[in-house]
Amino acid sequence: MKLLHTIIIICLLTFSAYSQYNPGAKQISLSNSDVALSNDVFSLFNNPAGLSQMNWREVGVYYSPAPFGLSELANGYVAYHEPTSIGSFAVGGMSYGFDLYRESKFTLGYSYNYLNNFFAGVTVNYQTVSIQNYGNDGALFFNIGGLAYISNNFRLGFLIQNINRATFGNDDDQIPMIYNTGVSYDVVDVLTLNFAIEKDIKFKPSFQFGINYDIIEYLSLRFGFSNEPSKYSTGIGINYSMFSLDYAMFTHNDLGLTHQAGIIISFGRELDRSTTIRKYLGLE
Amino acid sequence: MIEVQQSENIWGWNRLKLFLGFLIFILVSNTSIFAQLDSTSIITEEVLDNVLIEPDEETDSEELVEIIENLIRNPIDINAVDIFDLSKLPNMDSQSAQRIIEHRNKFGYFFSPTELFSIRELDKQLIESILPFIKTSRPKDDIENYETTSTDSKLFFNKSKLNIRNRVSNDLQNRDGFTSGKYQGSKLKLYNRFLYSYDKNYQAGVLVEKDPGELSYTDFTSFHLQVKDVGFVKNFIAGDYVLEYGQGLALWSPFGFSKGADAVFPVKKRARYLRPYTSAAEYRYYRGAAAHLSFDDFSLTAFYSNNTFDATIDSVTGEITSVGQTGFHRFESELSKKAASKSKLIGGVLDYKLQSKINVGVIYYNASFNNKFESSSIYDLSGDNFNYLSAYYELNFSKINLFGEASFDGKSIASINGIQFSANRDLIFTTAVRSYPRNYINLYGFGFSEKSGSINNEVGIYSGLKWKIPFGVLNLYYDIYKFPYRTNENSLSSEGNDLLIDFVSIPIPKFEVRLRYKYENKEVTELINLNDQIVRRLKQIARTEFIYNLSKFLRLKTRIEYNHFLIKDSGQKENGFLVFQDVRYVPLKNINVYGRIIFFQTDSFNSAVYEYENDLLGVMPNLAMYGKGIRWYLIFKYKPLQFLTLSTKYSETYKPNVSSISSGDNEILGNVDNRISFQIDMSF
Repeated sequence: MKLLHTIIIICLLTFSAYSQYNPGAKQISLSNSDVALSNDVFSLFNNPAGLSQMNWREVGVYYSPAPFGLSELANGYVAYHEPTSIGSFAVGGMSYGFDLYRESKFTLGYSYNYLNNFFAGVTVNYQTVSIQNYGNDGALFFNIGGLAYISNNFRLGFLIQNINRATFGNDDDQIPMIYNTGVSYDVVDVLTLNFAIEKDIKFKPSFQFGINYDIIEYLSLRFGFSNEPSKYSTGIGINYSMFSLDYAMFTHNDLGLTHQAGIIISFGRELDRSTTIRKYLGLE
Repeated sequence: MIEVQQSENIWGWNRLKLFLGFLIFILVSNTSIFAQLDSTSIITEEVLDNVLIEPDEETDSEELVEIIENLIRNPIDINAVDIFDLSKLPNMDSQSAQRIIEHRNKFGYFFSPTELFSIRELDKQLIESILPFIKTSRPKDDIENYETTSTDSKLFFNKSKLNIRNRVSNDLQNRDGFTSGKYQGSKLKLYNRFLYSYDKNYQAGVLVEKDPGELSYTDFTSFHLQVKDVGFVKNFIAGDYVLEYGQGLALWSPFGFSKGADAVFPVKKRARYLRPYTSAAEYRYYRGAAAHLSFDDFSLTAFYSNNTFDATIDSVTGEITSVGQTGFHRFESELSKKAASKSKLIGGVLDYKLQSKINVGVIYYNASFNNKFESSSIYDLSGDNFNYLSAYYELNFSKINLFGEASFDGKSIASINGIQFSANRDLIFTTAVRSYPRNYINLYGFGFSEKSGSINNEVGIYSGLKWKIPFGVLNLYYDIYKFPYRTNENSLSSEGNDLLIDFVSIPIPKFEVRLRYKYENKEVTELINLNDQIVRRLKQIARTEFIYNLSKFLRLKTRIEYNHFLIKDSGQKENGFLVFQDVRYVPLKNINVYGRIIFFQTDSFNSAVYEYENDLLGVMPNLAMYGKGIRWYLIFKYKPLQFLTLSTKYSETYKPNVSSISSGDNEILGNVDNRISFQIDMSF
């Protein structure tokens, strides 16, 4: 049993780059290429700038029960978004790991709408790690993001994670510093292409691509891929009334399939997501 | 396994505070005021962005910035200028210059620079890009009225202008040269410049500089007195000066433009004649007196200089074994080179202009040195006395502009000849042939060449095209060159070629996309199987850049660059990658904020990615990003009072998993390299 746990801990540390996939079943089914899309409550973790595109209240829960088939890597997120006249505020949290190794994160976000064509966001994150018999540590780090509407259907976005290079313990870069930038293009109102580049300070650049297709009002189909690590992802979203139910899965060459799902509840949104945003920003 | 502790990382906290401060600043500052921003640095940046390509070496580019800043300080009077000088403005081609002169001849003097927009044949973008560099003088009557109504003392202050620039920069980490006690002086880099001008006709300047590690706070000092436009004296300078004539084969300042993003601009040199020396490069300037006299179509320049220079002198033979170009005097052996020898220069230039058709000139000078040059086996440099005779020309025929120069140094002739052809408003084509013999001795020239300014052992053909197509501007050049004789790097003759394709488009208003591809195929020497061999080295660079002007106040810029380095014969194959996010923000009247964060990863120094970055006014460093890591900087420029501008820059390079950065005397033990600089600019 002890051996198994050791192996799992090693896995956790080795694959920490994988486990740090930002949440949202939609985001994962697009291979996290959505830095310039960022139009739901999980943008808090992906690109907080996107939050102030939304003029409605939203709450989301996400859960990945057994990444790579290991239930010890289970992780879950919650997020809440509140639009106000001075900008959007959001709060969220994350829990990851199991009794021997656990990481948790508390996130506060703020996003500002500048002239309806540029959105700037910042999050304050407090992340803790505890390893049984070793102790625990916490670190405060900041993410900043931007999202610009170049035209009505073309967006540019960027996110810098851990801009203050906080870390755990005495070793540098235990929390990765990541830069992600990309574009998002609405080919037609219901079909969006996303392309992004992600550079982790320690790893090779990763190119990410994703398509979101709202085939009918109630159903979204998603597909994506990326390299470094190479993977394919796919997912569906069921949108009914105030509920959005999303499912995603992605492949890993050695570790097989990973499944995750999430639910988002929107308050006060009467039309579908992208139409509401277009209307709010006056893009029609 | 990570070590886990309760304590907070101290460095993390400090950085955090800095960012907090910045974020609060950004969020708090209001954007509702119409700003009239101090635009010198923005114009300089944009002009140079369009013209330059990052060279494969780290540079400061102070001189190139100074060329643009100088143009902004001393705009060209489009009511007085001739076609040859007008076509020296950035982006200006001779056909457009001709149109402006024709308009002036036909309709009389311009009342304001914006009147250029009424010339239908001129490109609007071109006019916008030259507006910062031009002015229109007032009609004579106005000036006389003004003079009679002002009192003498008031006039004196009105006409006096004082420009002061003080800059201090300091590395926060200790480099090996300092920790080992090798360098005698402090880490500070200091730069102080005073420019006083009176009534546009008189100027005096003093410059004092100290490099990091130098003991003396006045390690380099320079001064000049200048008289301009008084009678037939176009320009007179006593003190330090530089000379630029023709195509730079005989006389040029120590720096010039080389092959760059604009395929047409750098080929034809834009001589600035006699200029005060206002740079701190400490290398190859003249000290003495020079006068530029103008008589109608003729002008005559005469100069005399007697100056010291840094050199290594062989103690036995008394011959010069090498010439110091860095200007560093940080420890004993560098100090011993300081001003070790003397050079004397005497000569003149006769220049003739026939209407706007012909400009020809002859240069003659004699240069003598206190010490003989040690005979070099490669380039036949020897002796202590050199004579130069050079002839240059520029001819204008409606759509065709011809230019060139041939310079004779007593042994061989170096030449360059080129043509610029403006097919129409949208298409300019240029081609130039250069021939620099191996034994041509380049003492004071800076020619168009592959090896940044060097004028020997090179023949080459360059062709460039600048084409405005409906959806963008395309720049394309191709250059083939050969070094017929051995060089310092290669023991036999070698060759190479370059190709650049640069495309700028504004597909959506305010949103600019820049795509660039550069290819360089060059022969280099590599050690393969214990033998030095000359092999092909292939370097390719691909870049995508998005520039988005969200509003008057905010500009975003994203760059993604990838490069590939390949030497097939030795199996060296490397990649480099860089991505950055850049923000320019003008939150309030006269506050500029610049920020950039760069992520890079390259296999080694061979595949380093270079990037020009913003800096304090007057500096524009080109830095090599290699290895794995990030770099970021923040610049604040604040103009609290009409006469005062304060600016500061903090920059930091961080590389995870390394124990030292840089090497030799510059080595830093640690993985952070950070620097802070301050500057005060005052003008009364």
